[in-house]
Amino acid sequence: MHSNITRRLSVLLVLIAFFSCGLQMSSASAEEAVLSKKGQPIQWRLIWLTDPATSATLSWSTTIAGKVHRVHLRETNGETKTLVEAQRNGRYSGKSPELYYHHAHLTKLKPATEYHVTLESDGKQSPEMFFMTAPAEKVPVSLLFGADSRSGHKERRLMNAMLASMVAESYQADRVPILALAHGGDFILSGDRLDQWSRWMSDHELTVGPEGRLLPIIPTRGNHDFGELFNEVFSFSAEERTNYYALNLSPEIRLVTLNTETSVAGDQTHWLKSELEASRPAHRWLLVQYHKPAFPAVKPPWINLTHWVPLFEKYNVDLVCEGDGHNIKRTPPIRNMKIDPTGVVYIGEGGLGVGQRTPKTSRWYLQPPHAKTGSDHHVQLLTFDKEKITYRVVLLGGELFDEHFLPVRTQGNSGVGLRNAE
Amino acid sequence: MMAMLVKEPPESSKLWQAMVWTLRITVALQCVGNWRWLAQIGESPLLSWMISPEDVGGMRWAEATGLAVQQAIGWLALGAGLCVLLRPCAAVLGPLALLQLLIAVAMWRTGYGYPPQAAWLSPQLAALFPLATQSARIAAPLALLLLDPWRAERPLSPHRIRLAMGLLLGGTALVFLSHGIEAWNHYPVFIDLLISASGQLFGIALSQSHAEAMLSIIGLLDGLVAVACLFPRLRGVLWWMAFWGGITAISRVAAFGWDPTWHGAAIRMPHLGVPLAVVLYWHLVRCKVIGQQIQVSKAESAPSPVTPLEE
Repeated sequence: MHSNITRRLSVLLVLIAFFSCGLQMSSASAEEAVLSKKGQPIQWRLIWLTDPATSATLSWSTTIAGKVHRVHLRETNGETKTLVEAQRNGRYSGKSPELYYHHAHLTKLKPATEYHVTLESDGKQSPEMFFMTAPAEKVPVSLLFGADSRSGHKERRLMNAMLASMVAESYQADRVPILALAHGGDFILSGDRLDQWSRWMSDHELTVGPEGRLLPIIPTRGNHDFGELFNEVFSFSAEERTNYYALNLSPEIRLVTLNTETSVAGDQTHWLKSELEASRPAHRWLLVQYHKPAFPAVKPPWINLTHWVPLFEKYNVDLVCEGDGHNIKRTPPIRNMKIDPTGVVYIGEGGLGVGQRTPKTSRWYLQPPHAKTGSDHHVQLLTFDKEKITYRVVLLGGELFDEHFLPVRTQGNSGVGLRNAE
Repeated sequence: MMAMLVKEPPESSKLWQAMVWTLRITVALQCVGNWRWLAQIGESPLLSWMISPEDVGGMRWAEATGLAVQQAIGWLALGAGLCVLLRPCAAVLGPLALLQLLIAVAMWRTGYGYPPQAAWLSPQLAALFPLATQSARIAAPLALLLLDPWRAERPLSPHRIRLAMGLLLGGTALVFLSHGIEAWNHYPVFIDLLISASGQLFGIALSQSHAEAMLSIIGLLDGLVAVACLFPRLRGVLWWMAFWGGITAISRVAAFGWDPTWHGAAIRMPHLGVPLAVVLYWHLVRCKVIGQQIQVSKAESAPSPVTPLEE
């Protein structure tokens, strides 16, 4: 098993070296190169906010307002091309650089289907790219989780290239496909700075591999992502103030995205309660992502420790993904503020570019052998099958840092969600 | 300009002493809060500024170096707090004011705190908002330095007193105005503070919409008193600001428990102490004026050369 992983990671290392060749250019000059494409579609991204089996949002930018913005869409094995007009177009808030957003919401897609897309703005086209919709069948899938790409621009670009490599490799035969990147927030330093968002969007192009596969992103608002631009970049409506939502990655996997930057104790907690109440019985795997940690490895806990953690425990959430701390963290299962095999595991803390901190391993929930912590640029790879979640931490460069298995929960006599084999 | 006949220096009065000790205790508590924050809890905008890379405006220090420097600053702040109680002096109060200014600058550089958003406000200007929210914390040690200096010539010059009062009043006005803007815009941290405090203190499950309505009123009131306090002699406004500043400072403890939030209340003591010091001084001025009027009326004589105590 372990040698198999080592072999795969070696392949990954080679792929990373190959794809990183284009990263010698600095982030700033790469940004200039992107912005010099006058009127052309640039800074493309595929966003999942609702039902990824049947819908997705394709977003891109242009340096001039333009008039006609649309997507050429076709199934990989189909002949028919469909034209989808971008429903929302406008200028990003902020004066510099002059940039315009375009959001085309694609609906009525077929599950587990590959679609080829070309973005067009006033006759100028992007390269052809493609993406896969989420499955409607109960099949094994993978998800990337990462956070904190607000600084360390060089590492951010390298990490994006690595994500592209990992995704490309995951679609090889006998592998479990990576569906999307759940980003735990803090994309940039100052959320009201368009120049910083522009640089992030340009860097995000690197998550598209050379073969053109788009990596869907499921965004979370972080404390640095304040302001209107977050909504404009990720196609939320201008009036959106909540930025919390839930979607199915497959019929078995429910991902709940929360927002630690709006009121935690108010309406969001009521929404979370009803969401977990409804989704727990209907899904084998229940995940939550948000930015500020309830069980932090470096910083003090956020108020969600009081308001959300009791709900996670009540509804037996399988895995909680957190950002903000700039380190690597996996806690033991926690219930009632102590280690409990029936409890909830908290992972993450963010390493998509940002400089890394030293975890405070004296905290009771971070002590080995029950917990694992570290400090390195990384992404978490979560693979879901019928029996377990396989949790892996992949460092920048492809090295495997941590591997852990979370068996599926079964309902015990007490009603508490026990885990098989525990 | 109100002119008065003052024979005795104001420093000899009990009200003056009360004002100075209000500031001394305020700054000392501020120091204890900073010690807890910087030396014990360890996470602050100052640390974030020190260890962030240059590409986001940081200083790119090693984490261990940043933590060591911050801890040293925290312990020095605690020592400075003790000195302030025993004998305030420029060597202590100057660096304390600088520390508060540095924290505000670190918040600006690292994007900490509430980000105000308005179409007319550029992101660069909006980033300076922490300088307003921190203004009373910066003003308190500076004003104490002016009002209670070691080995300075007594009586203090009217210019010096005026400058100190201007700093305290300006700091208070800015704090209330900036926090009023945060409340008016329904800053989520304040919403959660209201919901949690009402649950903890009164067992009331306050809804988010009610909390937001309350914040609108609080924001409006804060803005009004921030403007009103700049008009001289509205002592009731200053008393209200001291009361409300104290309530909001300790509200964190009420909402989230003593530990680990008590340092937040201690750091915010200037929100109580600074307006209280100003109102005590205004009472002193009023007492002097009344006393002077009585003297003048008894003597029925022409006034001698004047010494301005305050505008």
